[in-house]
Amino acid sequence: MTMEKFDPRKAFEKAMVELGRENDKIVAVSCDSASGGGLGSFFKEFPERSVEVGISEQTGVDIAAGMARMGLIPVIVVITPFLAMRAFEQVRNDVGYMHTNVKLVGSGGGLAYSTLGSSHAIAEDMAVMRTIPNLTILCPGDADEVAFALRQAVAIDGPVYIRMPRQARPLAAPTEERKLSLGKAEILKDGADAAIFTYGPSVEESQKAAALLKARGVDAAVVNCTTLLPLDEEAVLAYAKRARLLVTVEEHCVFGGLGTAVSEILAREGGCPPIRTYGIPVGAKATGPYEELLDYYGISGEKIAERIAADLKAL
Amino acid sequence: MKTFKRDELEHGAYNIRRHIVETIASNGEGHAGGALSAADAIAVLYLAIMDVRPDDPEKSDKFLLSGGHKCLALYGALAEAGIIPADYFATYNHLNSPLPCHPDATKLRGVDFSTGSLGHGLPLACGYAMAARIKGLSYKTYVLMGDGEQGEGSNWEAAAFAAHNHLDSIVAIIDENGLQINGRTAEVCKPTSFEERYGAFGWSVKTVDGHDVGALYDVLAGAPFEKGKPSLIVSKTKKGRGLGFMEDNIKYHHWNPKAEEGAAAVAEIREAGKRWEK
Repeated sequence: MTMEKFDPRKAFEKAMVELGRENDKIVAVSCDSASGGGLGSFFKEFPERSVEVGISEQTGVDIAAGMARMGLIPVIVVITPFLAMRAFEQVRNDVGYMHTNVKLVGSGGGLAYSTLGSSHAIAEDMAVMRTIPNLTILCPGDADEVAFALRQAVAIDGPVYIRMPRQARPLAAPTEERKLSLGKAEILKDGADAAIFTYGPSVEESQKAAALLKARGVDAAVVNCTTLLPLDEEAVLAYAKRARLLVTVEEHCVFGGLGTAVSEILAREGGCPPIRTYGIPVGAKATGPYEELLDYYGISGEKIAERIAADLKAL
Repeated sequence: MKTFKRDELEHGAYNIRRHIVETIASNGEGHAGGALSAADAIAVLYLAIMDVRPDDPEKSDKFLLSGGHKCLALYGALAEAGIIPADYFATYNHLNSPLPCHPDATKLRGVDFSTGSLGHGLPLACGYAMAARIKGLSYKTYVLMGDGEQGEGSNWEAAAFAAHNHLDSIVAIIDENGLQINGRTAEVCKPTSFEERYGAFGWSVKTVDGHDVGALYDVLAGAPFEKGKPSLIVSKTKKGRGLGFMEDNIKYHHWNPKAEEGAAAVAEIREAGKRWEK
């Protein structure tokens, strides 16, 4: 992890403008989300390729789908619950089943809006988006991954969902050491006592946990699944052979997300080590400062380390 | 746009109705009422108004059948326009048919976008119209909606967007047959007329007899009605038009005829077609 923190929205904003200069088919679609969602600079530089829909997410997704059918590459940014849930049917029918080349960007996933309550928290997006046909799901955690995810999304000829982080945080590794690759998990730390599979903001907490565990003599791997769909099954199976315990950590409901996806692979494979899924319980509606909320749900670095130590001991 | 020939268009609309009735009679089920009410408007669009080029999307006018359940009218128009072969109707509702009970653009050439869930057509039309503006293309986007369908809130999001952005390449038609599944639309939920509602949103609105191909042609040929405004045509129709027992009858939104009833309907529709037999 780097010492310095970087704002993921600034990385997104910069990448959007760079991509806009490279490719004149890219169109930005805002649902009153341009400034908060990192489209401000694109709107300023390319007003003729910028569409403000207003607070109308269902229509926003369909406008993007219609434009995509005409060869444009719309990038629509919406606060995540209103994209993944309010506009879910448009995403399913008009983006997924129609295989339209729309880039769906959920602004602030998981607990990012930690003080705003259950309407703005989203712990269900992976559960629903994983069922969408033809979709690639990218879940960046830091500024480097955000730029990577947006560039990959535009290069893919088909629908992509990006769950954008919101809080500034360190880079998971120095930029020059990263080997980010579509569909490939990033092994940030190796280890065989436990293997933590995670994505997005939970990567930072998992790295903290691995460092705390190391001090206790427990060697935990940290595997960053930036591409949640298709998931890097090879990486899951490799650690299923080596690690004593598999753990998933995510700012998502314990049903339907990475925990479920990894469990599906292990259940099919058979003879695997036990798995523990750390995340948010169904119906969770606690609010408060972001760091404290992570702790409350047991997915802060310290809590992850405590839980893994206890889970290993109980084996 | 072609020159108006009333007899040709009435014959085209008749043939679409014949496809609808024969197909349901031989395959057992379908949304007859709405397909029959919309048949004239769709006939005029495909046979006289639209420039349809399935292999040249940048030049082709677009048609979005927002109420996808009226698909048999669209399939009929595609057949009459020579875009799909008429023998496709024999596969209607069969396993993996290109003609399912809602149109699927990934399965059938000539369908611009898959529809079925109500309230998607007008928002999609906004996307096509914005793409035309961004790319400097001159196609028009036609969208046909139902009157009951106006209950979907997404229509009103899109109505606001289209007017705010001056999308005058959009021509929307409401097939106002006055019936929805649970009753007369006026009794289920119709607080004001569509003319008043869309007018208040900034659209230019005209009302027409939706079974008069001449009136439909004139109003469609005159769109956009006002520069800088999207156009709406309120097309006053009868659900089940063309079959006496079905017309304005709430029982026939979805029709699952017994063999005898189907045969009688086919006989009735063919009787109407004798006008073109020589």
